[in-house]
Amino acid sequence: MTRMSGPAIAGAVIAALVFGVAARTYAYPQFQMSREQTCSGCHISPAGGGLLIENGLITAETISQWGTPAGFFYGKIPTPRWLVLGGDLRGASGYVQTPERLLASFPMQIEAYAHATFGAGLSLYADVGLRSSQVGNEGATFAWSREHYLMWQQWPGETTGLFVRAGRFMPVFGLRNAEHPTYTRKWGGTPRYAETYGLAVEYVHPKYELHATGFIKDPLLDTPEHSDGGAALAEVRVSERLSVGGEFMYTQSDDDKKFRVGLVSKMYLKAPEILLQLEGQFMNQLIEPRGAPKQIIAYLMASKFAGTAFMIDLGVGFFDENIQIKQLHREAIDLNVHWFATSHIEAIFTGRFETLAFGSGGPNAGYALAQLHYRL
Amino acid sequence: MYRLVLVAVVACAACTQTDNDRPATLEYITAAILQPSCSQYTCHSSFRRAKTYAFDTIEVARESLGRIVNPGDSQSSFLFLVLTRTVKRMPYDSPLAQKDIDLIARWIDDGAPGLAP
Repeated sequence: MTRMSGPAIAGAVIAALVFGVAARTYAYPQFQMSREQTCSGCHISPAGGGLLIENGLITAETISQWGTPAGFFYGKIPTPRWLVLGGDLRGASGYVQTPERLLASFPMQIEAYAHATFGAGLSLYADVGLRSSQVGNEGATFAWSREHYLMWQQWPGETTGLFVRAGRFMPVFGLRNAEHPTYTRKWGGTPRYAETYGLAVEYVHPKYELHATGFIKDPLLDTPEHSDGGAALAEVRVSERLSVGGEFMYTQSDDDKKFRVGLVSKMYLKAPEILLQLEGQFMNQLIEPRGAPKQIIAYLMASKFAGTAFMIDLGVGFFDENIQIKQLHREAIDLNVHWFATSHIEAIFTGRFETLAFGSGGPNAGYALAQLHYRL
Repeated sequence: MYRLVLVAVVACAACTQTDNDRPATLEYITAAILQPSCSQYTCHSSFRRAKTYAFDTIEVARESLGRIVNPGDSQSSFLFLVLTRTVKRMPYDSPLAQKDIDLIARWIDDGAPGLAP
């Protein structure tokens, strides 16, 4: 049995704060091109993530080892047609080396969702979750809503067409990976809890989709993102197995301005059942009175669908904090093994090996975590 | 095609790379290093203020850094200590690049200009 020292225990607590109580903002983009052409083919949100529609529930059932009824509480709690309920519970345990070595266990997600439709294509989407609270305001902020928005849909009940959302949500940008440590999320404009108030106009077509989001600094919660700005993402599906797209984001705060431009692409190789996803970003940051770091952020992930219930991701991340300065780059290799045991239960191994300034003797970091996820 | 563009951008940048001539200012260090690396929601954000420190804006960083920096002496500054020690090193999820630590040390040794008096 391994005994942890005092500092190691303290470290585990801090690691739990860093890694834990995480928000799984998105679903699995691995399913686009490999299972469905669009995110809205499985999700209520046109940008993906969160509550599933009927086709998403069917997918959840068919990809699982022991397919069970995929509805809310296995369909045992009936809800009216206008109301969809759901939730996620998630925890993790494992080994972290950054470079201090420690063992940690922590909750990742305790979150509930609701979507209510009330005619003429209008609906309301909201979630609430237990989260780290605001210092000095713990009583009012131990649970709060990450996403809540009013949505108008051009063709109610369809998965395509025009969508307009107003409220609090993540600006639509990039690949939208579920794992928030992914470089293109952590350093790429959509870090954990970057949701804020905005307006999104989105058009989804089987052959292409466009998302334009304008957003402001959250006027209610002093969350880490302090910027106003806009984001745009356009994606064209060249064929049923290949999509290419472009992205742009501009943010402005009291401290800096950031311009991001990038490319996204997905390619599904049907015979080996492997999906390749690529995102590359260039970011220019303007800091007053002087300073303009230029960054490259890139991520390539290959996802293999193995058997009925397994999905294996191998990802490579690259981040150069300032391309004008030597040895400020870092690289990461990610490995995720998902086992969809039932339509509600998922077990995940997630591991990372990270190097700073590879080849120049910089420190390494990494983690190996076992996750358990239960979808209500 | 875009891969070629990416490679070209990186190659051009690599040709003109310098050692570490970034501005050693409070504004640069906060916006380019501390905010993205240390100010995650659960850590040193204004929202959470872990250990009472916040680095997500220059305004709050000025106050927080004023308590953990000894201007003119990086080696005795608590900020430098937590970035370099082997136990409970910060940031917890991934260490800072050595050149970022060097820049912060240079800013402190230059007198930490910009800190609240």
